[in-house]
Amino acid sequence: MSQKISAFYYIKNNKRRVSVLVTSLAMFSIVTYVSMFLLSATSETFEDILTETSRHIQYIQLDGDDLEYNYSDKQASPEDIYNEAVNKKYDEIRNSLINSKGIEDAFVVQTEYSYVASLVGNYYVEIPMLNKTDMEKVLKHMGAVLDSGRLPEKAGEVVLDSMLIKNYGYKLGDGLSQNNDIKIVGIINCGFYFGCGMADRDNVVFYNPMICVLTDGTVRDLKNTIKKNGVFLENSKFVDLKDGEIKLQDEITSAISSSTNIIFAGIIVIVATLVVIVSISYMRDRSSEWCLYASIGYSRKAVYFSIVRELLFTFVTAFLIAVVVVILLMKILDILLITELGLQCEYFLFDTLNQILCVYIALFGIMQIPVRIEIFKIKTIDAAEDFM
Amino acid sequence: MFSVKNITMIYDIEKENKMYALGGFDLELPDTGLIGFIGPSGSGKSTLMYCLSTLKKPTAGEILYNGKDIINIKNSERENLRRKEFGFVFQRHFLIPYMPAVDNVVIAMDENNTKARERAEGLLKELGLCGRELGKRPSKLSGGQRQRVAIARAMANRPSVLFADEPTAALDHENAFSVMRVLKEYSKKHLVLVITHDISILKDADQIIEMWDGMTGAVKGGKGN
Repeated sequence: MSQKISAFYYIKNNKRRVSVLVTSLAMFSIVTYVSMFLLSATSETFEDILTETSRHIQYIQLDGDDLEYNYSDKQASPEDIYNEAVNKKYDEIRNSLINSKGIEDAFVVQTEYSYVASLVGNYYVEIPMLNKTDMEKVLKHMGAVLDSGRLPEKAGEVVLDSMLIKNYGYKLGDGLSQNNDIKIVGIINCGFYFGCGMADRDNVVFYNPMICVLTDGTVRDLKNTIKKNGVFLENSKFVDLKDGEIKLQDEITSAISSSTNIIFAGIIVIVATLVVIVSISYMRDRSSEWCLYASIGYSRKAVYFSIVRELLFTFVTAFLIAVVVVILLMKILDILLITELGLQCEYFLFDTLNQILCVYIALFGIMQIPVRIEIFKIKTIDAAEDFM
Repeated sequence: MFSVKNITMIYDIEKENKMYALGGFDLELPDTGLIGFIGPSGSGKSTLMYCLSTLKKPTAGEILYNGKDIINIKNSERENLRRKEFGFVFQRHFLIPYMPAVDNVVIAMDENNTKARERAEGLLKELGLCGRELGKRPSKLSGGQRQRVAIARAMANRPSVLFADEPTAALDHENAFSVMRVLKEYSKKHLVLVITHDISILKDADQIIEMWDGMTGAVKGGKGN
């Protein structure tokens, strides 16, 4: 038997039926991938805040014990004397930090915050407030270029990256989300959710004092890095790359993965149900046809491979359609939603693609079971009952 | 061409009340000619044809085709026989409902190329289908047209033996005789075995074999004898 049973006989003449399976599979891929793409706008944005920014700028929130400042002294001293003592301690620590490997500079800063809302959840970014000279160093370190407005010239003024501006919907002249007294005077572009401003340490009583550390991108664990240089801050809080990675895992990735698992499981159940329904009707419709093929000289193997080719065509078509639609949808969502909201996203989601392909393989495998059963049931045409 | 010895077919062999579809008889069939099998329902005509064409395996006996046993052969040999040596026109036309007439013929051919398609179209035209009818699905064709497509499919590979089980059952007289003319023409160079209840369509048969209760009865010379 040299002729193979062409898969296209059935596909060409049963477009509506084949399209049900193609559409089911394509919809599964599209919904899954686009859902993950939208969730990536959250994970990528928060990853940028928690880890990418932390490769370049990190913070230490000093604990009273590390300051070696006696709490009873604070009660006893006037506030300005306390502040002076604290500032002095900060300066001492800052001076010892700047000699550590991987640390380019460090400043004592007052910290403001701005709010970043993603599609699912929100987070805060630190806005360091420094003196003019230090602020210019920080801006240069972060690769910031002024886009519009001007750089801060007096205490209480900040510049923010355009992504932060877009995300919150700030305009020049607005106050910061967490402190309306801090005015936005300029928009910068640096590729990070970042901003900084001016504070006058001589005239402003610092609150949220922190040490802002500029790193060369190699520092992950700031606490250990400075320990090697003899600076021991055992009780202080470090906002470094390690801290960012932990927060990303604990607060973002695990929370998102719960959502993604629910979405994925729901979609799988729907698709599996559809595939089962389609398979049953497909088998019922075609068993007599396969009996006919056996009667006119086609082997079971030939019949089986014709079915495999039909299924392969269906799966590949569904996948290709899904790829085209997904790319279009992602582009549209990126332009209309993600970029508009100043969020980050990832187009190529390897894990999701892998999961989708695994589901395709699993479904293809599962569909072999009823096919194989029907193939073994093939008799000759005299056994066929309901044939047109 | 066919030499049948003591062919027996028992249905429900494991049950107490066995049903003998073929009761064990001998039969010799020539290389060419139109042979009619006639008899009442349940007489074993279709079972005999299915056994001869390898679609069914008899319970006992021997079927030699061109001197070779075709009961205990490998699947691949059986498939090859069905493909190259035998053609089938079933009681119901058994056309594939979603395929156009011409594809229903091409599917039975050894090749699926332009030449095969042209031959399929030629066969259908010879059988009286033309133009747009070739592209119609079976549901859009009349009973007679469907049966012609089934005959064209059976002839697609120019088989040495053409089995036709009640080929005219669903046809009016005019169509029935038209189909029989085609089969008669084909029988000039090949063997055509026709099962029917209607003796009138066998007026041009070279031989008519009567069957009763799973046994062959009288063998008539045909041509009205």
